[in-house]
Amino acid sequence: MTDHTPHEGGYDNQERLLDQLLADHHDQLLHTVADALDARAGLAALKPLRHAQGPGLDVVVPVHESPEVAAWREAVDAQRLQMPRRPGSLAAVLQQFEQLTDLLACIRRAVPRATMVNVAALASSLVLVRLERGLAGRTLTRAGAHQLLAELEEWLGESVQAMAGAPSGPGHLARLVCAVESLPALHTLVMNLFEDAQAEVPPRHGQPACGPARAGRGDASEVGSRRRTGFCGALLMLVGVVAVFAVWAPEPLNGLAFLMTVPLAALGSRCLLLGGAVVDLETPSHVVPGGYGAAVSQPIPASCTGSSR
Amino acid sequence: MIGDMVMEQPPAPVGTEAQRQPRSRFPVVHRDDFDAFYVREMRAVTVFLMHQGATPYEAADSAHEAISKLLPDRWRTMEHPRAFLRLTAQRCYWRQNDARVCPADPVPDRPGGTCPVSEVVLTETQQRLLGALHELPPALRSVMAWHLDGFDYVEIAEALGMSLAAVRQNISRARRKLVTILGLGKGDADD
Repeated sequence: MTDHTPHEGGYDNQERLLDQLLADHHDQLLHTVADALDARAGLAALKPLRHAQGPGLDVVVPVHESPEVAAWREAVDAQRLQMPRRPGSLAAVLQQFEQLTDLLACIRRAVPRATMVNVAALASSLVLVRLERGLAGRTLTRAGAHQLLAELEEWLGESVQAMAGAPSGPGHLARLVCAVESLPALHTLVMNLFEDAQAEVPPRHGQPACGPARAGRGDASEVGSRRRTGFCGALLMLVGVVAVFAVWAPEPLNGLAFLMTVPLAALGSRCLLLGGAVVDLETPSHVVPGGYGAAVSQPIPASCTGSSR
Repeated sequence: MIGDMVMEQPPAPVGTEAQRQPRSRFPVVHRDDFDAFYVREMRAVTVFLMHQGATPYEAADSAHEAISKLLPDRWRTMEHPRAFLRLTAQRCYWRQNDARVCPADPVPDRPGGTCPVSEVVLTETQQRLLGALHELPPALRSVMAWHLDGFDYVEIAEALGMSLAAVRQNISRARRKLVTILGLGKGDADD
């Protein structure tokens, strides 16, 4: 019961008696408590915790599910499974690019290197990579995407023509022809991305404009506002000078100066009023210099589209 | 090495029975039998807390809560579950003591209304020894509870974050006080 050694001293009869008392007491108390405890109830209470996956992660399984609830749940699940993907979504486009890249890689592996088929497939793959990176990174403009898609169509056509007269892997030609036939639909999908991106940035008054095209308009209005403010300041300074002159000038000149002060002050106050109102009188904020084409040809900032990569 | 189920014993005095027959204070834990683990540790931790001043009901409540924190798998994977259990149970008891409200209503006159643990009947010797332990200052009482539960000085020092010398000194003081409280120095100890 103790770690005492003879070197520590003091281990006399009292200590020995105490050890004996405490040891007996501990054993008896253990038995008493063991008799009083209801281990079965305690274990039953802990049973749910023993099979838990973690705090708060228990899987709730409905014990009784009525037929109506079961039918409703199955209908919701089926609806969720059958829900078509958004046709213009970036993920769908990238998935098609990926499939096309895989097909081109298969074709390149199946044909010799120095053949026209291999070269055309390689060129198509490179165009696809540029398209994929540009769209995924949102660094591609609408015109750039259109140009790359046209280039891709051209190279894929070359590939089909070259493959028609050369041996290739089984079924590659048929799959490539299918891919070429689906290119117009893919083109539309990519263009829809830009349309959707534009549609997702509704023009609103009273909110800071986003995107490079808006930034240009905002800068011009700021420059104009600064110019007007400077003009008003200069006019007010002139009014002050003329007023001082009117007070201190000799007799014939001070009357003339006083007469000049009144129209100058009126002009200054009018300019001040107009300067405050000029912001509201400008063109609406959604009208972009350069028109719609200039707006969509700008890179789409990710913060404006609201869609995550 | 805190709270190992089977631990190396400190060197016993030369020529004693313990030296010739090395015994194991703690049973070997079978990590695949939670029921046995629960039964053994529940009563041990309950007694451990009773030595620290808890009533049987409070002690059993805290011990059960502490064991629940070892589920679902920590009781099996933890290296020193015994020390963890006692530290957790101790904290549960202290926290419980701050918030416990004694019910003012009478005990319901129906079967199952009272917990059997709260109705534990202690013998006079048990009450006397528990009373003596409760008279100790809290620090001495805590160290003594660990010591009575079979932990050696090194394990107590590691569990309570004390130096070995402090543990040794606390136990020595507690024992001297117990001898005084129980009147063992006068030769009238009641076995």
